[in-house]
Amino acid sequence: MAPLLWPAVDSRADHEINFKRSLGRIQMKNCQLIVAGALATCLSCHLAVAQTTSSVRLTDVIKSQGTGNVDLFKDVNASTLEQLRVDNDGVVVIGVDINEAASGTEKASTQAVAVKSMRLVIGFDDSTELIFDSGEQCCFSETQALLAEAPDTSRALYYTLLGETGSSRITSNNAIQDVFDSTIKFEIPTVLHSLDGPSAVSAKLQIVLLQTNDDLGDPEAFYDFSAGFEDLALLNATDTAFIDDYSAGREEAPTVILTNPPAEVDLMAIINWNYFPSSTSFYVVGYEDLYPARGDYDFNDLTVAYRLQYGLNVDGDVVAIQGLAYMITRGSSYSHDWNLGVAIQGNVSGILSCDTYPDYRNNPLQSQPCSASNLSDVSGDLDLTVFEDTRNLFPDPAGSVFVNSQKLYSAPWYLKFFQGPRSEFRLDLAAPVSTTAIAAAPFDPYLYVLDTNRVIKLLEVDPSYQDSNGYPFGMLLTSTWKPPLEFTDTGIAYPLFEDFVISEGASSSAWYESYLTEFIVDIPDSSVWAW
Amino acid sequence: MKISLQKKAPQGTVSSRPVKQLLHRGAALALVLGSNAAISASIEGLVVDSSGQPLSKVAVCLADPDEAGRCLKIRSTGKSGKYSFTGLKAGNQYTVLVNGDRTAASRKFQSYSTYVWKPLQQRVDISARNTRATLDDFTGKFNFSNFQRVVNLTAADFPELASIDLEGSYVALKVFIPSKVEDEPPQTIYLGQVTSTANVQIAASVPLAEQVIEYEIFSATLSINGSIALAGS
Repeated sequence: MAPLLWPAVDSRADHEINFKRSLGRIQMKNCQLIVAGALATCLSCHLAVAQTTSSVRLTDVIKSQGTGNVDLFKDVNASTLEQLRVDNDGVVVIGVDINEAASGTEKASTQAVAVKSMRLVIGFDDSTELIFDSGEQCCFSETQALLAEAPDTSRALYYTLLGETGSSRITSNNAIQDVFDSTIKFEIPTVLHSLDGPSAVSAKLQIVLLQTNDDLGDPEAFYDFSAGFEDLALLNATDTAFIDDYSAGREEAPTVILTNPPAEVDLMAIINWNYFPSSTSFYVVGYEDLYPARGDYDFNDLTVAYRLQYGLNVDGDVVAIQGLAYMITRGSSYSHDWNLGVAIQGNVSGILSCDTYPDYRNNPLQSQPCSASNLSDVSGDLDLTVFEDTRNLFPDPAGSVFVNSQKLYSAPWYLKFFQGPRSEFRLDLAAPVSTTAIAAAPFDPYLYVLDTNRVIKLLEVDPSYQDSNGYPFGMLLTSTWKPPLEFTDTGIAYPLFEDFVISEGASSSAWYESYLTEFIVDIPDSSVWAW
Repeated sequence: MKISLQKKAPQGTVSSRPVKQLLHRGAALALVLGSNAAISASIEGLVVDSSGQPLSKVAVCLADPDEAGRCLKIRSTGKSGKYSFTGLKAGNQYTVLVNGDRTAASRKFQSYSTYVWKPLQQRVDISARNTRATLDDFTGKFNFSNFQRVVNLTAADFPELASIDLEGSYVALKVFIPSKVEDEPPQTIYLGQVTSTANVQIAASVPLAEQVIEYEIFSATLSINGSIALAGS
């Protein structure tokens, strides 16, 4: 794989300066040609052009195999292309709507592709051609990352295109701003439409996305391309500025760097992420909710998976704590609040947000606040209700008391596994804190049983939550945990469990890998329940 | 927690007395001053199992309350289950906990890693230089659900960083748990740019079954792979 040669920010900056020097002349000439004296001065002419030039969505797209052969003249003529170029100060700007399937740490709110090459060929009516090729530093996007092209493992710097799924940008002013995520910029110091000179008669754009080596995991898995199609648009200056400023999906993109970084370092800006337990796995916790009575000890009364990540600034300090949680089983007639505590030393403060997406089956995009009891202004430790009133939040669609704690079958539908509610939360700290000031993972995930008014904590967090024989009521489990069936003691579903306990871990240390299939709920893996 | 204060030893005084007497007094003064100099604050306690039997070779950590996870001193309990920290300065506050050092370099101090401890930690104020604080017993209980251990990583765990120009080029660090399943990518714990060795402070939560964490340092011109052994509990 040849390393990318075309970022070269400095040389492009020089180019930009020289180009802007000549821009005034080009604009004036262009103005006179297009408006043909209808407006008195060039300034007023230029304003009139800017006001009437709309962005144009293109017919051609980058297809799922990662290549886009785009005929701009399917959607614009030379005059419109020239107006857009002038509006962007001599730059033709391509907007890209990223539509990727989740891979690596990709998700709806952050997804990306990398660009292997870009080439724009403009043909003129005098049979000349202008060729702008990424191999000659013609063009750039706003972000870059070090990536390995498949099947190699060595990395080089590539331009990247970042984005998100959905179109609910409350600050947007039009449909283009609603959905387009990233920009590609071609600097073109040549008039494309003229009444007394050559005019463009064709404009063919080719974009080839990088086939990253996603066997390496992130960052390659994040920047791979998969689902496509990536929609394209020719942008005017207003939409270009909006999309660049909005920077969709940028904050969570791993190892991303800016093509033109700001002069001053922002200590509240996130540049790295520290994941717990990892960027692709979850902690799984289970509870017995009859505490202090041992109950049936099936440990499926509530099963929750969760992950946290620290957003780190340039100094390696934490500026945000972000989390994601899923309900997996609710094998109880009791209702609960599932909470998460994160102790933070010092008098910290921050702004908290938490949203629950309750209904995967019928309305997966609809969210609601996790709980009215969560304060948006946090001071001191984080103590958050992530899932509130679990019985109402996650009712069994078939009307049973329990959800996902009984034998599962592929049919009929009401015996299948049901994806549980998802919650997403984030604490933006008012000032950076050291990672060592935050209590250790897996933090303090605890249950509040509404029917008994009792709290149940993990044994690791508070050893008092155990019965007289030392059995806990809250357990940290493995990420591949298969809960025992309803009313089935954990020791029956997992025959080595008792030996492990009696030997105090000296033997049967992998007890959780050996279970009797007739006594467990065959929960699918996280690719199913982590929706 | 029981804290006792030792009686202060009498201070010597010098007055106009016969030389012999003064010499005698001087020797006594030296003894008194010497014994005073030897007195310093201390913390001691006992680690037992849930049946009250002493536990030996348990790592007890003395930490700064504002920086949990990084021990100032570590002491192992003897056969009697006892531990002590001496030479402590007055005016300081400490946190005492079991297996408290979570740095990778101190992973050998993670005996009884599947136990949970009650209390989890104890806070001690050293108010005077002759404070002797005797803490409540730490009682360890085997815990069959503790699948994770926490490890704090710094630049010292990635020695190759020291020889790389971090400010002059874009260097990234990836810390991960390698996959045991073919075609399954590794589990990424940390992924980001490194601008200074001083800024590397990574908290990792690693399944107890894992023996190593792996890492990759990469830029446009280099790719270095390494691993950090976690065995030793």
